[in-house]
Amino acid sequence: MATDEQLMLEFQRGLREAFTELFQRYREPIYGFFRRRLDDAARAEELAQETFLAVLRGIVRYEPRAPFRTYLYGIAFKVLAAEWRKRSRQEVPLEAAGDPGDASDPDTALWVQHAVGRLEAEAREVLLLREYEQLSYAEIGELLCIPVNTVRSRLFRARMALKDLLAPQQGAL
Amino acid sequence: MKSSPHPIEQEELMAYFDGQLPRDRATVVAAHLEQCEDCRAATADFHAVSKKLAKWQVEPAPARLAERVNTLLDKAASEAKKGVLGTLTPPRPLVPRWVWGLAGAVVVFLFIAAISIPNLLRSRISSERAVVSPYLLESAGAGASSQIRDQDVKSVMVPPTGPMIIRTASLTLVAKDFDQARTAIETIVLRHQGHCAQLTVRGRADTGRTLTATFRVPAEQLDPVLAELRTVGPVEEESQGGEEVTQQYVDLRARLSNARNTEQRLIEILRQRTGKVPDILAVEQEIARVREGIERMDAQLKNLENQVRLASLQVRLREEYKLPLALAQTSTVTRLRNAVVEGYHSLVESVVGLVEFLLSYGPVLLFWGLILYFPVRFAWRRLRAPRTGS
Repeated sequence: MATDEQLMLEFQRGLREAFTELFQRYREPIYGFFRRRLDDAARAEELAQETFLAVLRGIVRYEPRAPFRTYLYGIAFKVLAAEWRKRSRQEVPLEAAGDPGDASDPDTALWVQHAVGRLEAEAREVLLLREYEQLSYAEIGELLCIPVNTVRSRLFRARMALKDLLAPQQGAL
Repeated sequence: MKSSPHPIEQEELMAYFDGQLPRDRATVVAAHLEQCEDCRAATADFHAVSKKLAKWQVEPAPARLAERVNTLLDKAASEAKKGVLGTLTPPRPLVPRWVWGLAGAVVVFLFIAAISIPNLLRSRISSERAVVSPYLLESAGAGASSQIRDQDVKSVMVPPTGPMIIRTASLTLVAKDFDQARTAIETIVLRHQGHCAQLTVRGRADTGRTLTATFRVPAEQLDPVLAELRTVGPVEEESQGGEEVTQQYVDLRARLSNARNTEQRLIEILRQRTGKVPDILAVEQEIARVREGIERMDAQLKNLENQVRLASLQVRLREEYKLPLALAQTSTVTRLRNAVVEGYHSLVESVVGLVEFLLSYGPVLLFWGLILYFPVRFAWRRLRAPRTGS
């Protein structure tokens, strides 16, 4: 199976199917990336589309000097930052994605979402990239422009906090 | 996740759980986990948290997303065919990289050329002079001036009678009695068969005056003149120089001699008149050209001889002026007014200075700014690019 980078180079040479394959690989992860960070499903879909459009437009300048995954999430981050600027928000609006009062069952997605939303922003971003986007520590560091040790400490902090937040007695508060 | 001391840090344990440890370290942690119940419990906690987080799954991406992206892809492909968008065509930046490279090479070449060409020309001229410089007889024999280098040098060489040196000197004197000193200077110069080429006196009689004059004195008289001038008043500054022009002079005489010979031969040809009219006209034109060259070289030769025969002496005479004691005190109002005027002048001077600086260096800074802006911006972007891979 061709790697992501090989597919990008093939697409650069004009092979349309290469991009289709890449899209199939990353459609769900990129949509999930925006969906977990925005409360608006339609907007998440639009931003995912913008991300793939940016890949299309940037193909002429693409050079496989970094993993494609890092490249793609880098674009997604820029698109997301633009969206936040547009909304004049500094924080990820995870709290608005659901009503915490309904999240009384620690086994529901809403409970988890609420707990993640209570994390400090820096630790939360590292946690999301690790748990849901499955990026390595090095990739996260490159994406957020922080050292790998910082990634590790933030992730540890987030997991420590979540251990308490996801406990039934904490969620019931 | 207990915080009791362990050989393995909890963060490291977490990295092991995430598969982010180097192999050798992961082996150590795995061995430790087999023995340590606490660490196994901590790992289980990490696992539990991840398991709970996995419950937060979002809905699948809408099918519309695939349709939209396919539409974008179709559009990009069609634009690429039309050449509107270079998405699916080989990269074609606005300014190709080789253009930047070429521009940089040209700039470097011009810079090096600007430095080296003048030096090269200077060394070449001096080497040519070294070849042509042998001392030549006036009657250099047959051959045009351009053939001098090919002639038998020995047959035209003659030892120089002595070095030809253009001498220059400058002297700055201070005198208490300006008029008396001036008269003394002029008398000394005239006594040694010199003459005044230029003279300027600045300042009023009631202030410190200065005299600047250039005298031409016979070269052999320069030293006696200087010796006498030093007695006029204290010497504030003195300098002497000499430029040897022997080679230049001999070379010029040789070329002049050859040109005269050429002229004579052309005149002989003209006298015989064996050729056709166009040939005769051509000979006459050649004679006129050679004659012009002879006159020019003759003038240069005379000028050179004149400069060697007469040394140039620059004299500067400064009157020792003592400011009279001012008994009347300046009033406060006048002093303040003067301060205001001086402030105004300083302001004007600073503005004019700034404008002068901008006019002097502005175009150069703008020129280099325009040349270097895009390469620097390009390099800056390239340096920042690895984060996103493009």
